[in-house]
Amino acid sequence: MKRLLVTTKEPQIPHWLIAGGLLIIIGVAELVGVLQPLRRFGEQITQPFLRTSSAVVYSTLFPYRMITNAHQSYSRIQDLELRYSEVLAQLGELQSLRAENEELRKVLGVAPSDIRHKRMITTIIGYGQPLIEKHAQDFISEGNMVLIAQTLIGRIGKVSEGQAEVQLLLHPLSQSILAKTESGISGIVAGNGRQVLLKEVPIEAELKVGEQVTTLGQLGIQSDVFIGKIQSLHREDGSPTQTAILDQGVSFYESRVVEVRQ
Amino acid sequence: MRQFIRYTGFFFLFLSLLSTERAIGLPCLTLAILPLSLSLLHPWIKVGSWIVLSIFLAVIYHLPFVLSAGILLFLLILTEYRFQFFQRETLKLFSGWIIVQGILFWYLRLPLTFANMIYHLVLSGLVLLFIRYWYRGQDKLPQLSIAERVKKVRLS
Repeated sequence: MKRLLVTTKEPQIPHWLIAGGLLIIIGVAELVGVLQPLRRFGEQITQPFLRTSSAVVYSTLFPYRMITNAHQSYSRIQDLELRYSEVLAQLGELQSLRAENEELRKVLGVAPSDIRHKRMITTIIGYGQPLIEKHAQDFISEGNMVLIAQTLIGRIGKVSEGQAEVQLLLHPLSQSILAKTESGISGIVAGNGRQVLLKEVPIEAELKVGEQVTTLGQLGIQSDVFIGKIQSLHREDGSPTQTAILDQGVSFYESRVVEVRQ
Repeated sequence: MRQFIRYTGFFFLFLSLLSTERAIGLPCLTLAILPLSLSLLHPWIKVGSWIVLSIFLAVIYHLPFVLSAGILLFLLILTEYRFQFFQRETLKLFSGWIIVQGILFWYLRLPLTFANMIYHLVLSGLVLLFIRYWYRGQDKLPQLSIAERVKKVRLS
C-alpha cells in the first residue's frame, strides 16, 4: 500500500494507517459533536456558491421547460381563463365576508387571523435534492409548511444552520397530509414521485374533476390551505378506495423562491 | 506563492462545480475529477486536501463528515491502485464510481425527475469516456492520458 501514492520522499508511517486513523478521528469527533462549528463555518462559505449555482441552473433549464410545456400551453391558458373568471366572481363575495369576519373579530376581541402564523420568503438553493436557504435569525424548523403562490407544496425536513431540506408532497417518502375536498370528502395526500395524489377516499364518495382540495388541519399544518384541484380519478375494480390525481398548478422546480409558514 | 494561488483556484473551482452539481443532483463530475486531482499531489498536501474537500463535500451535500471522507478515500485508493500498476480496467474504476453514486442516491433519497435522470445518464456516459481515455493509459490517445502523466511524474 505504501507504494500506491505518488511520493517524493518515503514516509515512515504507512499512508493507509494515517488515512484510517484520520477517518476514525473524524467519526468520533462527529459523534461527540465537535465538528458542528466547522459545519456552520462551511455553510457560511458555501452559501453564496449554492445561491449562484441554483440561479444559473434555473436560467439554463428555462428553455427546456419552455419547450416541454409548450404543447400544453393552449389548453392551460384556456383553463386558467376559466378559473380566472370563476375566481373574479367569488372575489366580491369573499371581500364582503372578510370585512364581516374582521368586524366580528373586533367585537369578540380576537386578533386578526393573518398574524397568527409566522411567514417568510426564502430562496431555493437546490433542485436535485430540494433545499432552501436559511439565515441564523429565520424561524424555519422541521415540519413547517412550504408554499408557492399560496399552494402547499411540501414541508420542511432536516434543518441546519444555513439550509433546510424540503420534503415535497410529490415525493413518495414524504409525510402524508390529511386533506378534504370542497364537498367535504376527506383523504390523504401523498406523492408517487411524479404526481400528487389524494388517496384513501372511499369508493362510494363522489369526487368531481376540478374540485379544489385543501388541508384538513393537523399538527403543524393549518386547515384550508390550498393543495391543488382534482385533475383525474383512478378507480380500480374491487378496491374499497379510489385515488385522485391533483394538479397543483405550481412546481418547486419552476420557482426561485418559496414561502415558509409556521 | 504560485502554488498557493493554484490551490486556492482549484478550491474555488471545486466549490463552484460541486454547488452546481448540487443544484441538479449527484456529484457526478466532481467525484470523477477529484480523486484524480488529489492523486497528483504530494502525500501530506494530499491528506490535508482530502480532509478539507471532504468537509466541503459533507457541508454542500448535507452528508455526515465520516461518509464524505470515506467516499473520497475509497475513490482515492481505487484511483491510485489502478495507477500503481497502470492497469487498463475501465470497468473497475467505473464500478467504484457507480457504487459511490448509488450510496449517495440512496442516502439523499434524491427525487428523480425527468431532467435530472437525463442529466445523470449523460454524465455517466461522459465519466465512462473520461475514465476510458483520460484516466488511464490508452494506446490511441497517449497525449490525453493522465495515467501516462502520472507515470512520467513517478519516473522523474
